[in-house]
Amino acid sequence: MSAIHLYKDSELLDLMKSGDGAAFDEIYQRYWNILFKSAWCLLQDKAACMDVVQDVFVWLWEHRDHVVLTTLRGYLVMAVRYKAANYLRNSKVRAAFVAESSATGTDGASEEWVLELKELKAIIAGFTDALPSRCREVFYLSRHEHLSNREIASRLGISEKTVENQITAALKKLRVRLGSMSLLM
Amino acid sequence: MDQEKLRQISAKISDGTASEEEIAWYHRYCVAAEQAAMASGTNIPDDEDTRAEMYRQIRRRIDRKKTGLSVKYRYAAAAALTGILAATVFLYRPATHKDQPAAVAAVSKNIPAGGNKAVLTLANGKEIMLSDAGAGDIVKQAGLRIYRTATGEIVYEATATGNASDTGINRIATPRGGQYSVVLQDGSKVWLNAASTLSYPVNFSAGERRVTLQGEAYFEIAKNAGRAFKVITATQTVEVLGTHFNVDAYSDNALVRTTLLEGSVKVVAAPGTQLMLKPGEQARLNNQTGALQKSNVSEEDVIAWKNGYFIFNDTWLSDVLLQLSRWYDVQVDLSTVPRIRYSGTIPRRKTLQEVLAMLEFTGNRHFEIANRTIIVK
Repeated sequence: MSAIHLYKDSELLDLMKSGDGAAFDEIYQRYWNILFKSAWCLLQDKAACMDVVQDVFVWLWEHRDHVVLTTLRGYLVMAVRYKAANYLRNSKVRAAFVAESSATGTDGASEEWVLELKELKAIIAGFTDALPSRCREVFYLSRHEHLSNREIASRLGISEKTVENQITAALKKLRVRLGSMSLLM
Repeated sequence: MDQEKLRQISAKISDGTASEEEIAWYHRYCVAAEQAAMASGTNIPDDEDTRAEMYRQIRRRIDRKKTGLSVKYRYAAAAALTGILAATVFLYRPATHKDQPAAVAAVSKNIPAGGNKAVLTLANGKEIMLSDAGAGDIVKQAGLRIYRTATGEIVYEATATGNASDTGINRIATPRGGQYSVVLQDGSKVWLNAASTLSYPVNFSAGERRVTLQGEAYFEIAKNAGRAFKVITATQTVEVLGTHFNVDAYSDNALVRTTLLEGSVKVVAAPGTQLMLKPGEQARLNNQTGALQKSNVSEEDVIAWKNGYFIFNDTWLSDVLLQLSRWYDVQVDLSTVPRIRYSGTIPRRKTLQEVLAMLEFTGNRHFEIANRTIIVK
């Protein structure tokens, strides 16, 4: 394993999947800097960036058996973007550098952009699809359609109490997962 | 830049509730932010110290999950998650009704966890009930002493006086809801899970050490290069010299699972059908087809039972319920169990109602108990 730096990403990934810690270390060596830079561009906060990058690598190791990806780099960078969202939502970090126009500008033109977007969607699904479907539906109606508990209850034909329970359950579960522990999912 | 819009969409991304358009918007935002940051020549603190500190933290978090401590830690998180056990994480306490979801609360009597229980049958047919009570000598004879400890263990100890000539067969059997461990005369230790039986000679013969198992047991075999240790089950033989491994050979399982933690073992299913295992590997023998295959598994998951936990890791509900039925001595009708999987860590000292409440929390399924039978709704 002395020449591990000569391995291709795909080979490293296979080695890591078989539990090879040296392969994981090499992946860290290759990508920590790229990921830290990606996080920095979004957050500009050292502690937050370190947390995000750490989360991504711990996640990678713990889910090494299930990781499905196109390119390792794309996967890791998109995972950083997903994790960064949890910091951006709190606005504790300033989102600098970007004008509104740049976020609504042209897109979808390049193949890379499309692939990255696909990877990002897959990662979001992978990190969050653990909610039972009813729970997810209730949560969605509450948070994104802004329906009241009573409205949701009548729309889905369930009691208001159940709606309340499902929302509490969803919030608890999301909170735990954001603490980078995926348990009892 | 509309900060509020970024906040809202980030929250949805994070929760997994963002629409396609919102994900695309967020992705555009990220790309633009990267370009803007690079163009501005921001000073990125990505020095060697940052690299090393992050690496240390990652290692610490990964390693922590491998230790016994982590199991408690993970359980603590699970308990906080379910919200039913908040202040009693490490304390045993029978659940009260108001802590339970309706389906489980409908049952008036809690079904407690199993404990250290077994029946020891001596070579002369005499049966001895074993539990935590009554530590002390069971048998004292030439060259051998058999005694029990207060922690659910019996010990066969060769003594200096007399010849160890007794080669009679002893048998230790745990009931459903019981577990026990035994230290054999050669110093090997065996942990028996619920509803399991181990037969072994009081003194091993000179040529080999041979035991027979029904059910599940974890073995830590004393090294003895000259004398192979063989575990015989209904459909296979495991052969070792000195190692740690788990054999799960319940007759109601579709597979016999042999998992190696240390050393090496040979699993022989039939003449010509055999496998050598490396640590972390599990051999699976299909009782129906006779096929023998191996794959990598989490050792922590496999011996969780010995350490006082159920660990489910994408485990089929039918397997989950089978494990519960053995530990809580209840029945389960597998014909109506849906094909869904569960993951999580639950201490085995919880009552059945508490365990089912945790399972209910994680999925759409409800559980009821009637006539000591678990029913999936």
